[in-house]
Amino acid sequence: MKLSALIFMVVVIVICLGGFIWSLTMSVRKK
Amino acid sequence: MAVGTGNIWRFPRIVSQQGGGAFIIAWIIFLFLWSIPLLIIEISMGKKTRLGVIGSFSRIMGRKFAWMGTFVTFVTTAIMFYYSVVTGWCLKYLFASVFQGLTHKPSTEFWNGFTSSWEPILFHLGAMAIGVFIIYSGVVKGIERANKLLIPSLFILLVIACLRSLTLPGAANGLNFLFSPNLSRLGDYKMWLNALSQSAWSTGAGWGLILTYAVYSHRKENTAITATTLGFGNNLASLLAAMAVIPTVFSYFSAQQFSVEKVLDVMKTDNQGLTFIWIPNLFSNIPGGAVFLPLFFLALSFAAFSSLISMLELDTRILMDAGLTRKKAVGIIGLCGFALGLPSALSMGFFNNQDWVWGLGLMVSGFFYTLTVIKFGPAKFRKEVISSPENPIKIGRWFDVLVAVLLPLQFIAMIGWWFWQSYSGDPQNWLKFFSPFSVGTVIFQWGIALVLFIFLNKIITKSILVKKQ
Repeated sequence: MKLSALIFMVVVIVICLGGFIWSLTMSVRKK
Repeated sequence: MAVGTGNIWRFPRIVSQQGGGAFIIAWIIFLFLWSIPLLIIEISMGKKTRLGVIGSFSRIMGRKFAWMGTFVTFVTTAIMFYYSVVTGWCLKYLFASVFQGLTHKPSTEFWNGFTSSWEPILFHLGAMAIGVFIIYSGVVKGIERANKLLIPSLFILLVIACLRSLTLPGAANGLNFLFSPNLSRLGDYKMWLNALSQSAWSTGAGWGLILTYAVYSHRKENTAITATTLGFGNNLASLLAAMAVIPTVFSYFSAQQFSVEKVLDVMKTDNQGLTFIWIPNLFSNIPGGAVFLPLFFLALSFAAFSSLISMLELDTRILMDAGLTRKKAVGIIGLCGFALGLPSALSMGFFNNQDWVWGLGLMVSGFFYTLTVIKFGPAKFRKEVISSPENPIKIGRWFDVLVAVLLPLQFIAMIGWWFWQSYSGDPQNWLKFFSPFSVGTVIFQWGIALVLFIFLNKIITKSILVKKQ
């Protein structure tokens, strides 16, 4: 796999997974 | 609604059609600048007014603007007509994976044989009949309970499928395609239009379904967090689906010495069936695939039904508000849904046209929500509608700028760019009404709906809002 594609893939996954985990954590905290 | 056909069926086909990496950039931008803000607006309107879509628009915008809510409802209904066909495809694949040994069949031939036969009509009828039965008999809660188990299962199966797909020989070529942004594609207006409509389609932004759900939600539920969870969860599921399907396609054709260009051509033909063709192929490479595959399509069917039921309920509610009994309302919606979905079940060309026209219709729906907030006052909306005494939510002034400037700007820029490029690219045909992807077909269909609803505004207001009060 190309290095540039790997870096882009990691960035995209971090944004989506990170955002999802962050919002789940926030919703648990609020409860 | 976080995982469904929007992620598993629609995303892989759109991303493969629109050039991979560059599309992902546009799609993530629209998650932040379009879908999440609209989800916040929808949830807040539902929670504040405790009314359906048309009622919410009338309450906040004024009765003269009930037609906007009616248009939003109609866009969702028009999507429902062909969504039922997709739900039928899920049922067929569930049936085939249990009784017809789908993992052992040549998948492209099976898809082509199915879609060129009369069977899509039968399964569309089956999907609509089951949907109507669920709404009529009031077993919606049972379906929702089943979904609590099946949606996480679908997510886990997606992860398994994704892991297997990534370990197939030649899968790296698929990942290279998916995650290498071809920056020249960023100048393609069609890619941006598709990114916006895909983001709205799968997150549910602008559909009115989230608004309807919010009517029944607890006042203490945090609007902003619900919207971000929905948005990010949806994007994550879409990525998983694409990472399961696209490397599988590349792996299969790499073994046959196909060039990347040729693989892209293959993905563009039979594009509607991309997931249906390649998921069975992938599961045939997984130990226990013959067990996992029916489970996958069972979970996908339930996810599809969960959305179809919400759409049917949205329309049933409106007819009931207009004075019809539940039995009559469900019957009328079911019959109309079956009849108006028939052309999409019969012709893939018609199906593609409807997906294009009403997928983009969500952009107009989103614009109507934006206008509602602008008329109400973005700062006032933030302080009085999003936040409430029971649930004080701190959203900064960035929200005002986003709603008053960025959301309308995105709509105007996208529409202007699209019209200008279409006109300059093909001045003879850009306004042709009956060309499947022209500006003309979109204006024609949106126009009929808009003119009709503006004309009938008084009747709609009287029959729905006055009776409700």
